[in-house]
Amino acid sequence: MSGRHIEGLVQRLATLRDRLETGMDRREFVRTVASGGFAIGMARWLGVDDFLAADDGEVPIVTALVRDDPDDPWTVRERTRYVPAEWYAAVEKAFEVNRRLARFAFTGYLGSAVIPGDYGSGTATVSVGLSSDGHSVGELLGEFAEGIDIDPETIIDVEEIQDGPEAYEPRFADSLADGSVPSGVACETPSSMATLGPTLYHPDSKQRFFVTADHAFGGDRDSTEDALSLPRPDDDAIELGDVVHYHPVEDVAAVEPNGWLEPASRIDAQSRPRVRGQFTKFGLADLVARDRELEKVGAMTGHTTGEIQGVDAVTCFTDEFCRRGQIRWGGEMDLTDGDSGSVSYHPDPEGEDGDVLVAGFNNARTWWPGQSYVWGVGAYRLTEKHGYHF
Amino acid sequence: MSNDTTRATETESGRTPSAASAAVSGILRLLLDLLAVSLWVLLLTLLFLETAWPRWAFYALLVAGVGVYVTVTAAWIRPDEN
Repeated sequence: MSGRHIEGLVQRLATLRDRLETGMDRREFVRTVASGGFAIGMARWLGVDDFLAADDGEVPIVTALVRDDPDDPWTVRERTRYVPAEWYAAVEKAFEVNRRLARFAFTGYLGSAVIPGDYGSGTATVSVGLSSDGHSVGELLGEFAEGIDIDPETIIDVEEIQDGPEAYEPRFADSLADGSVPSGVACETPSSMATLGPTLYHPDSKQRFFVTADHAFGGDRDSTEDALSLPRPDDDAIELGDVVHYHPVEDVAAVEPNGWLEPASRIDAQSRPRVRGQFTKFGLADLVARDRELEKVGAMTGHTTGEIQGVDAVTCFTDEFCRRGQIRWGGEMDLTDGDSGSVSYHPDPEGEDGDVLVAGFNNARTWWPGQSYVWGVGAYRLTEKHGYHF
Repeated sequence: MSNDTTRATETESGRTPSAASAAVSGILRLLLDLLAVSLWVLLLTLLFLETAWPRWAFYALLVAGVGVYVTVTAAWIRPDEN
């Protein structure tokens, strides 16, 4: 800075008080209001309220995507919750450990899942399924997994698939008077029977789909076998539509309605739950931390509830590839052939009575000794990968 | 500080500023205001992310900062215009 410049500055500062005393004129007032408004608007846009409202040691997480207007599926909004930072850090790290395990996919790796601890403990566990005791997972991960419990489980006899007793009567859609079909009733593909899920929405094309499990359509299929129909006890089956998108990795098939029946965001249970959105990955972790249960309505086993056993799980038990973003919950008695395609859900804590949020699909179950759960892709994973939402 | 000197030379070169140049300088001043306010918001946000200070303190400092900024810059501008 030049000496002259400083001199000028000093002079200005010296006369500042005199000028301030003349008061604020109209233009300055307008400028203050406009700038202040801009500042507050920008602060809001940056989302400062989210962290300002958090107590010391708490962080906000997005737990669910929920519709503002239950009748308008395109008004999806994020729901946040404040959780202990220590717990968040542990769970986030467990997710990362899990991601690495899935990427290594070392010999003998059959899958893994994250089991968040409760909020008081501030910990998380990664459960790893191994086909033999050959590897020490802890050594493999080295220092990276520090602070995270690794729980190796040896799984034997994965090859043998045992079919459970087939003593179930399928649940048929009873009232079709309003032209819509709720989730939890039987649907039929050319090769097998499955359960219909609630309406799946796609925000880009603004389309609504019937949805069920991809594997219900069989392994090798041609274009004549894409039809999904609704069986009825005393009548001919009604055609619902044709599959337009197969997602074999997520095990989901989206069906475009082509008849007079439309999919519904309802579940065919006694309380007539209305689907209002879905949980995120951290929303599911939050449910585990608070020891909440999931429910489902399958066409065969009907309404069951069970504890969540793991989130963001990787399963390599079936097929040549690993499936990621899975949920493990309940027990193997909760699912049988024909229940695939049903959804797991939990009541919406802030919604109206009877509102539920979807956790994910139920597509398979354990059949080996030592473990007992149902698994399927999380709704959040389907949204991340393909954009659909409930 | 540097924009002070430029403003001084501007007024020296054109003693009777036209409507166009007045509009240009007005827009420049507006953009400068928005930039300064944006930086202030950013600074406060980073500061409050580091600390666990309450929400009211954030908004109080935000508005007070804008008030001080307008008062101080208005005092610098006024003698040039009169």
